Amino acid sequence: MTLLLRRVGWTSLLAWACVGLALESAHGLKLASYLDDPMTRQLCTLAHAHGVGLAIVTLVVGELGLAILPEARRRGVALATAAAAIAIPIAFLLSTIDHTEGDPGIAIWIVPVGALALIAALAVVAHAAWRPARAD
Amino acid sequence: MRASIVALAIAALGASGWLVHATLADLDVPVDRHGGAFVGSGACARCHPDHHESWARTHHRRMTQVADDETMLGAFDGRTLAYGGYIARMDRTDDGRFVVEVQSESESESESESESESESDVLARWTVERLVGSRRHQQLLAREDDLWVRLPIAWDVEEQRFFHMNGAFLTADPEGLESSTPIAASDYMRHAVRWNDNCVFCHNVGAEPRSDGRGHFDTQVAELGVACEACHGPGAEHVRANTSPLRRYVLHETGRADPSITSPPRLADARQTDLCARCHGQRITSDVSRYLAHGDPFVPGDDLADTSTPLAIDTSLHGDATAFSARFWRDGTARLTAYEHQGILQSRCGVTCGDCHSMHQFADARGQLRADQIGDRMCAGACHEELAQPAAAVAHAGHEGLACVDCHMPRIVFGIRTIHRSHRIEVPRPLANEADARPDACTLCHVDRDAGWAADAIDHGYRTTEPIGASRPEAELFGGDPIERAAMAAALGRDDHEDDARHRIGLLLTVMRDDRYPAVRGIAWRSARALGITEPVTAFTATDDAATRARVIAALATRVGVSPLAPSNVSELRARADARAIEIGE
Repeated sequence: MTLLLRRVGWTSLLAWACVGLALESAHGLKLASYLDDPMTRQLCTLAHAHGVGLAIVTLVVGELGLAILPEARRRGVALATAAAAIAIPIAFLLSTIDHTEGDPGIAIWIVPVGALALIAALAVVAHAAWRPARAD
Repeated sequence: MRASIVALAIAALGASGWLVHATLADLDVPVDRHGGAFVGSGACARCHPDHHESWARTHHRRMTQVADDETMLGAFDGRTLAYGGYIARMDRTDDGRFVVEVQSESESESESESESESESDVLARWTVERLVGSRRHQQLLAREDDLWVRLPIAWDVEEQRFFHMNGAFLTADPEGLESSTPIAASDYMRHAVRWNDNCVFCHNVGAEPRSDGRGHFDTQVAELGVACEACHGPGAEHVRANTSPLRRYVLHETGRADPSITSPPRLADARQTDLCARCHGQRITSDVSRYLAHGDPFVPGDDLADTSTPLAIDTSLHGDATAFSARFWRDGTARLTAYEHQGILQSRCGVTCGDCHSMHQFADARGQLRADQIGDRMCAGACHEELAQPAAAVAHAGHEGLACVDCHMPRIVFGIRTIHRSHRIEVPRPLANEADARPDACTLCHVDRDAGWAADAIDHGYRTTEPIGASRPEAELFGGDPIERAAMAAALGRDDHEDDARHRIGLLLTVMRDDRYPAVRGIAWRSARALGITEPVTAFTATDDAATRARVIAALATRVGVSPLAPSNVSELRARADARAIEIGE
């Protein structure tokens, strides 16, 4: 599971860093379709920020979090973390499609589902961190 | 563990399905918003920033504003406006308030000599707290106890100077102005009208005059200016209901109408037009006291006819069937602004206001014509596809460079110191128009021709070249009723006809000097300047007294090298001129 999170984390970090470069380019090149649409700008920014942030969270969970978990919990926590790290930023990005002036596109509904999965995983890790260290 | 996750997912899906179903069912329940609460445009901006931004660029938004440094367009820098023996001084107090003070000219002079001020010398002193308008004129409102009063002084945005409201409407000069003696104070205040039960309805949202029927008011408005809820109706229920994201997404994804708000594009054509007609179509109600107490019961989407009737040429008031007839040409065409609805109702076109205008997708805030319907596209690009090709349009009109509206929406409507296009979209019929003592589209450009010539030209494919009735512009300019004179004065200033500009300037100078209606004189001055007089706009003031005007016109004539012209039968024409006041329905 550590390997899975390591792969997902680093790949995700690379991907969302590239998206960041693309967004900076959109600013630099004054891309009207991006700059003239405040909702798209906000959602792309959120996608980039969450993508990078969750990639780091994924790496931290993989390298440090799984180690303190009981074996039975590792798979679930790893899958939930990886799913959230992939789904949340992509949902922000997809919700630029067909958005209204006041609300993102329907893909935004994936975000709270991903957030719940991530929070559940982090809760399990946090709970484990408070338990007495085991001999094994 | 896995089983519990699957069970949780199934439960979540089931709950979601039930919530969506309940939301859909809720959208089928009509919402009665009569008497509903307003929230103000700020609440709308949170979810509709684009619509809010486009509306914010309109002059509708600025229809009524609190007077401050940002909104005040008038130059309150101590400048004065002399009229009828009174001097109005526009200035600011030490704490920044905008003040208008009016006193008689003689008292003003003696005051400046003695350097003292006596309150008894002052005819009126107002602190301007609200403003009405921002495009052509900005009118000033001051509070007097529980009343708001529209002051008799206003700011001309285009000319960048103050003017007296007696020069804005179609009333003759008050007694005294022709003999250059002071006019009566009541004449000075003729257009100082009460805002509470007048302007308030159309220039604000959710106006409630709250009249007690004895001249006292506790007037409230939901929002100053013509804001979102003027067209969409009270929004409190809409805001409350749509705090639910599920409801919003059900609306987005299904395209269903939201019963908690009025969406004008979803309304039937007649109901769409009713939205605008509420203010752009003067009307009358049988229940005036209800309006004065609780405001207009109309909610966007209602049938306007349920609560009021558009004024027409034969609308009766207290048994007087001619009460409003002066507001219409003899054929029933409205000749004042704010009667656009009547024009649309009389048109065979079957258009709605929104076919040509838009509150949110306009190219220019002046007129708010739809950005996608500029020029002839609104006609030739829509119903009259056969005229979409320029060659076909030229063949149809017999002219090059004409817009559809030039012939089908002639400029025959008076609206506060200028002439506008009629909104009765019609086929030009010069002879019928002449019989109705109404200007026609053809001879408003071909001012040296008459209706017979125009009719002949139309009948012969625009081939006739024989001028007939060369005295026509003079007949209307000097012998017409006030609106005919104003319409002709405006027509003479347009550069789309071919007769001699010096001749026209000469005629206009005579109108500026001699016409008894300051509004007509002001339009004539604008036309004279359009024809090439480069004197500053302040060189002539339409509300000046007769002696001053004579002196100014003589000097002006010398400087521009054109003498005032009048036809030989000017006395006869003047005797024919109609001198009635035409109320605009303030």
